[in-house]
Amino acid sequence: MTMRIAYFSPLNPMPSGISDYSEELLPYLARHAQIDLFIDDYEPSNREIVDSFSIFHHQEFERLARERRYDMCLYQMGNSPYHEYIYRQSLRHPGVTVLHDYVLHHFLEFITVGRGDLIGYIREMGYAYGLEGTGLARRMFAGGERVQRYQYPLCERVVDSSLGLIVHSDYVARLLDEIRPGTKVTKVNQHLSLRKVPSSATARASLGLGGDQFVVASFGLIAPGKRIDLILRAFARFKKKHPNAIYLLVGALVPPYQIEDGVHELGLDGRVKVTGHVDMDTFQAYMAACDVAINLRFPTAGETSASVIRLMGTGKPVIVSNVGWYAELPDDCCLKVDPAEREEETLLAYMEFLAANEGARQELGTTARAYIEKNHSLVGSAQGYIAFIRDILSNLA
Amino acid sequence: MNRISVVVLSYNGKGYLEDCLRSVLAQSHPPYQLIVVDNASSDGSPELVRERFPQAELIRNHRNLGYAGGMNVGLREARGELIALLNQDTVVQENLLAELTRAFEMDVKIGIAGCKILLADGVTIQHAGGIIRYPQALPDHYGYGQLDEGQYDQMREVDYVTGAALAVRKAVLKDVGYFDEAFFPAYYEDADFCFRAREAGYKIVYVPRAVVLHHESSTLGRDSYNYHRAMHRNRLRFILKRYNLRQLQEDFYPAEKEWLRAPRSENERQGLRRAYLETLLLWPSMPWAKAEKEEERMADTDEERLGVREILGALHRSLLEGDHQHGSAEPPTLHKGVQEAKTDDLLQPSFGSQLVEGLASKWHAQERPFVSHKPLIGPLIAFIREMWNSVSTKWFVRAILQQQNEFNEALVRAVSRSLDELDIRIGALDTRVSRSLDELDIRIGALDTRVSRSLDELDIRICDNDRDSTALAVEIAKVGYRLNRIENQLAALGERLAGIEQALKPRGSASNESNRIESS
Repeated sequence: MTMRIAYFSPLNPMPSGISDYSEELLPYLARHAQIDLFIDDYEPSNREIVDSFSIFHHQEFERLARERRYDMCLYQMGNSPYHEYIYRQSLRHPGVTVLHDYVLHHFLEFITVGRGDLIGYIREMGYAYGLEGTGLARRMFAGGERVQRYQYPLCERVVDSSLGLIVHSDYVARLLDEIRPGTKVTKVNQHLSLRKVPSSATARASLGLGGDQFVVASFGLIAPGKRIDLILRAFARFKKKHPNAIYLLVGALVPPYQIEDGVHELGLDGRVKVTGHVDMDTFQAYMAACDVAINLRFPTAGETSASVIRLMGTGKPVIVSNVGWYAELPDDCCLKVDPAEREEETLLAYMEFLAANEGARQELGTTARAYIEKNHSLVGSAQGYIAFIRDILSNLA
Repeated sequence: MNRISVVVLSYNGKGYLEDCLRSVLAQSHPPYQLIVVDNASSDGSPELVRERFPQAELIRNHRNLGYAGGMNVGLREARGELIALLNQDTVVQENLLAELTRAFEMDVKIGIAGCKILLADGVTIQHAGGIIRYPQALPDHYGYGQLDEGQYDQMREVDYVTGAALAVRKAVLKDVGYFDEAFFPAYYEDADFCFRAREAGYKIVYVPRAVVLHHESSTLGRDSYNYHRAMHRNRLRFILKRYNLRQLQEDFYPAEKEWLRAPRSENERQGLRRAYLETLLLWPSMPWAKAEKEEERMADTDEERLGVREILGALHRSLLEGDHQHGSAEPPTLHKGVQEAKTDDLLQPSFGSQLVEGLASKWHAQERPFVSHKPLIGPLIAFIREMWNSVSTKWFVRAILQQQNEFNEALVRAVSRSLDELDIRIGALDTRVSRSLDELDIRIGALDTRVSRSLDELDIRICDNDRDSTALAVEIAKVGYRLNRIENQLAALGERLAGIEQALKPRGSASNESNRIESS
């Protein structure tokens, strides 16, 4: 008998990476199960998804659950406001949760404190950390220190409310085992999904970039945790030896973060460009156009970077931080920088090395692409999901 | 070159403000932006800025936010990479902004730079960098009161620089935040800001070539009760933000107690007492700035709360006991304990004794010899009057004089006794008020503990309930999924059964037909 799954996830046009993730995965999952989608108050924009699946408002779930008797609820949970209904639903009807971020503190703070519900926040802190948590929250509201979000991830209630958890890295699986030993967890690699990638020359021509320019780029949302200040300082030193170098930040700035002052202070006016949010085709064109990609992250919320997977799948040399999921990538597929003393010097040395060795760039890119194609396929992801759900169901008794 | 914004804080200082702003606009390195933040002045300062300095961005606060609050308003509006902060009663030399900018460009690690501040005479040093002495956090200015003879002309790192005139790199604000506004109305916010910046890795430097004249038009008189109260209260806040309990007990308390033995003005004693008491009562709910190092601050445990309370209580009591047992450094006065409720005249320490002394020296009325200043015949006139008095009026006046003297003497004794009694009563009242405050504090402490415990118990219950609910929801979900599976299986079975029935149906009909034939 075909398995029936109630699938809760943001979809496009919701500006979340998980919208893209789900829309890429769903056709492959549908080969193994009958899937109904549950969303929030908006019209989905992906025609293929709309035509292929039954899509309902999440408030219809109770009625439909009685009629269709789903075998399992599947929740795509992330650390952004688009997951509020998913969070509430997962507490009422526990199922399998895909934890895209280990740290959910920003999300929970937003849906409690952000709405004036201070008691709600204290309860969340109390649930996860007992009296230590309530004390920290109360002191913060009395004008004291802000609670350290990465130290107190606030994912505990979601974990407790799940029959099983799917994560994208061993790093997060280990963290979950530390806070809730014995929780049923499986790792399913985040999949690679690429549209047709243009050649570097074509991409540069379409983007107005010179063929002789050495293009360094970072991809995705631009926020303090992406170490942009440090990259700018390293790039300022790099540029002295490589006057034809430019640095592109392909993605949108997360307010109130701004880099204008830093760029000006370092004398990089005109050598650094922020593209703002771009569509996926343009995003991939920038990937194709760059010589070296730098996607650092510290601290990590236990997330997996779709941008890094795409970059590696495109065959580009990538420099990442040696933390969390990034640290699990094989050493011959990317270069890793420890977020410690001499971080800037190490980053600069890697940039110099890659700039001077075209062969090394190509080799690194080729190895990365082979690794991603082998380990991050959509078929493999879908099979991982289904096998895990079957395992959960067989152990319900 | 870095752009430098200038923020001038104004509060009822119209007489100084114009000179200050003119000196800023006459800089060799002009300011990128001039912001005047007015703390709700009532002397026409904002109107002066609007009329005579249209190039300045005027921000009017609807109430006095103090130094930290006022400057923070300006800091948030400043767009330069560097921001200079000036008091309204300063006049800056024309190369000030150029020298400050040069200093910041020499070393990117410099976060805050201070100036050489001279008194209005232009030759006496008021500030050449500051130092906060451990363990009492008493402030000192290098060079204070000395003639400026080049002895402080070396640029160097210092503990802190005064907020009267300083410049800060904007990046510092991102890293450590703004001034801590709980240092209201003033004092120690600059030292606190500098310490936080240094803790974040920045250098705090004194720049001797950046020179400022300072009129020091403090709104709080230098030896006033209010000055000492605010100064010491903020000193205690500065200490409590940084010291752990061991430092407080082993370093701060013995030094502070010894220091309290030294003679000091009555206003300072009273201001100190009030500062200890306010800190004692308000400490548990003091708002803290964000930039403190978590590991160095007290963890706010019951033990630490009690420890701090004991220290502040002991210091407060030692001042109180000093008043009663040993007498203060100044003569006993009429006004102990009730200063805040009296007028300025009554607050003068010598009021009671002067009154008694005045009455004592004048109460005794005496006969006076007759005198005349007429030339030549003056002595004759005096002699005749004397003679006339001795035969006609003397005996009548002497009796009246005696009666008046007896009355005066009684009056002086009564006034003196009343003053003594009043003094004793006020002293007793003061003791009672202090004890009541102590008792109140203990009760508040006990209540605080009870409320905390009740809250903790409530939290534990809510937490347990939430966890039970979650576990229950998971179990219900498991049962639900199992039921679904069984129902699905039943449905599938039903479908199969229907299929079998359907398949059996034609065979059944044929069999019936054959039975009918057989029976016929």
